[in-house]
Amino acid sequence: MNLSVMIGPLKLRNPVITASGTSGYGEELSQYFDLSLLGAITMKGISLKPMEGNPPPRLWETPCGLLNSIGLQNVGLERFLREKLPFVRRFALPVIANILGNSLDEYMELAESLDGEVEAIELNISCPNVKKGGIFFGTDRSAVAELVSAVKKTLKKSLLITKLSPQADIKEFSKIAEDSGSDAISLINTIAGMAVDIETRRPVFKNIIAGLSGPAIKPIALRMVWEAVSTVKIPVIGIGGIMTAEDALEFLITGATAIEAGTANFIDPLSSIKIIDGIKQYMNRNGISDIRQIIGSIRL
Amino acid sequence: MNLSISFKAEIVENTAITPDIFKLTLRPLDSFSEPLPGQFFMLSVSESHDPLLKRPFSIFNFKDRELQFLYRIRGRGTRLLSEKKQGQRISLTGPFGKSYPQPDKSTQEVWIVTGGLGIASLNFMINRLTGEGQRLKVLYGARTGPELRILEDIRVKEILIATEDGTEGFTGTVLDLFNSYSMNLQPSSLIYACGPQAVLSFIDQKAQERGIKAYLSLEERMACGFGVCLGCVIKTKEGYKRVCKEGPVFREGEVIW
Ligand SMILES: Cc1cc2nc3c(=O)[nH]c(=O)nc-3n(C[C@H](O)[C@H](O)[C@H](O)COP(=O)(O)OP(=O)(O)OC[C@H]3O[C@@H](n4cnc5c(N)ncnc54)[C@H](O)[C@@H]3O)c2cc1C
Ligand SMILES: Cc1cc2nc3c(=O)[nH]c(=O)nc-3n(C[C@H](O)[C@H](O)[C@H](O)COP(=O)(O)O)c2cc1C
Ligand code: FES
Repeated sequence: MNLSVMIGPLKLRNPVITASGTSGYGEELSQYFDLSLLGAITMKGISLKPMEGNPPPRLWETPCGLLNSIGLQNVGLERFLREKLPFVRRFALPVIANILGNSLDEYMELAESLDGEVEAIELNISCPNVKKGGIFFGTDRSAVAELVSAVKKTLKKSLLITKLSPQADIKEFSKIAEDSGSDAISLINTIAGMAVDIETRRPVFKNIIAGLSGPAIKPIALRMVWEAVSTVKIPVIGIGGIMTAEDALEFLITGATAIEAGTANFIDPLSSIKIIDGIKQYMNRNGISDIRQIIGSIRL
Repeated sequence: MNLSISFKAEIVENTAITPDIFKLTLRPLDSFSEPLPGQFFMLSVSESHDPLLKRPFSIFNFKDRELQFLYRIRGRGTRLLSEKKQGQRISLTGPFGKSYPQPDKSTQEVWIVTGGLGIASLNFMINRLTGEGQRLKVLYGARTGPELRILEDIRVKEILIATEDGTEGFTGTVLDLFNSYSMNLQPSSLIYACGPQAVLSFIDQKAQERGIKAYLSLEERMACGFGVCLGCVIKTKEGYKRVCKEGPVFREGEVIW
């Protein structure tokens, strides 16, 4: 049975990747299962300088969903390269570095330093949880085009994945990413959301707006993946509310070449492994020998 | 994957001790790692995606391979948990978090300062210390006399009780009780405390003033329980720390309240 997929020239053992910000730098998950069973692992978003993140509260549960306002707490580029990367490198699997800058220059410096150190770089142009950067790039046409082509020119070895914001028009922005040289696109990041404490009449989060993830966003994510695969030829990685193999299969059938599981890791650290097993069972049940017979097999 | 971090268990008992406090005993159906005092598990309260997250609960006791929890109905999740019946199955992840450190040789006497459901986190440690012959004193606060029923299973020689309404023991909170006894604390005493933030910050301050070592067990909202979401942080002198991973047990002087 073949589960391997290609993201451009990069081969993944299977199409299941853990999403940025939901699997740390691999240290915790590696205590619970062999990381090399995964298709790939995405590192927590990395910025040039360490970031402290937002003050608590950072989490709020909603029906079938989770609002978070972590604020990209991370160790920064230098410590990532020195401490975190060598650890995850001990496991035989592709590593994806998710990067976030406040300016084109910062993105460029991150990309230059990480080129060749990781198999792929995922450009985070879509995080709703930091005031500067992120979201503005993510919805500004010429800024995205400029950023993607500049980073692409910098990269000699690592693959470039552009992570799209669900706040932007997907058809338009997936085309911009493709035309600017991105090797693949991933979507979606969390959807901007909000919650109010009715007793104090204050927003739950100090930043007011937070990012919604989990099963609640799955239908929207799936629609956006559909729009992306109908628009571009480069591989599309589907993200959003994938908790089970059935969820993952919906994305693969729709045309995603691979998927990332995020919030699912919180509920069960073994969920990615269970998703892989569930995909195998589905293939067995349906007499499918190659995952490529599933990808994009949607019947219209 | 011999000892699984994610497993199912069967409910052996889930009974009300007071109208809103329940004791839950689980028999794990798969292999799992043995918990240490002060650690916690994340328990599913629903088989569906709503509520989505598991809820953290301290290990009240671990005996004969059964896991025991003590919980109070707080919101929707704990209400759903309280409606579960004997024989039903639930999913768990854990054990997670740092355990209470053992007292060192210089410790002459251990003080356990807690109230309400804080005992859920400390009982397992109390049992262990008692088993080792450690001298210990428990200071316990409850809102009212009938809530003291949750102490039924707790075996200690020396326990001082305070109730806010004065129905039993000392009248006042556990902090009032602590204040009126604190002159007996020695530099060689060691405090373990678990409870609301107001209790912990107070004990923290007193311990620092008196130069006494204290271990404080904190609570924060959690999504994952094992360190990957960065959602459960508290401010410390060394920056934000994860309650689920660097905690839930912290040293005196560590946390910025
Ligand atoms: C490490 C740890 C160990 C815990 N051990 C126990 C235990 O042994 N027994 C027990 O009864 N409870 C324990 N708790 C608290 C318990 O997890 C919460 O009461 C529970 O998650 C509430 O779920 P809910 O859906 O009923 O409430 P929700 O609807 O989520 O919230 C109801 C109320 O509870 C408060 N609350 C929610 N989550 C927490 C939390 N994590 N900490 C503090 N307050 C919270 C909310 O602010 C709100 O006021 C522990 C918490 C942590 C972090
Ligand atoms: C707590 C948390 C932290 C996240 N951090 C990042 C991040 O650093 N960079 C990023 O690109 N996406 C981040 N995300 C978004 C996820 O990678 C993913 O796109 C999103 O959660 C949707 O997938 P899900 O529904 O499976 O969680 C984060 C999500 C959560 C819940
Ligand atoms: S609950 Fe996720 S890091 Fe602590």
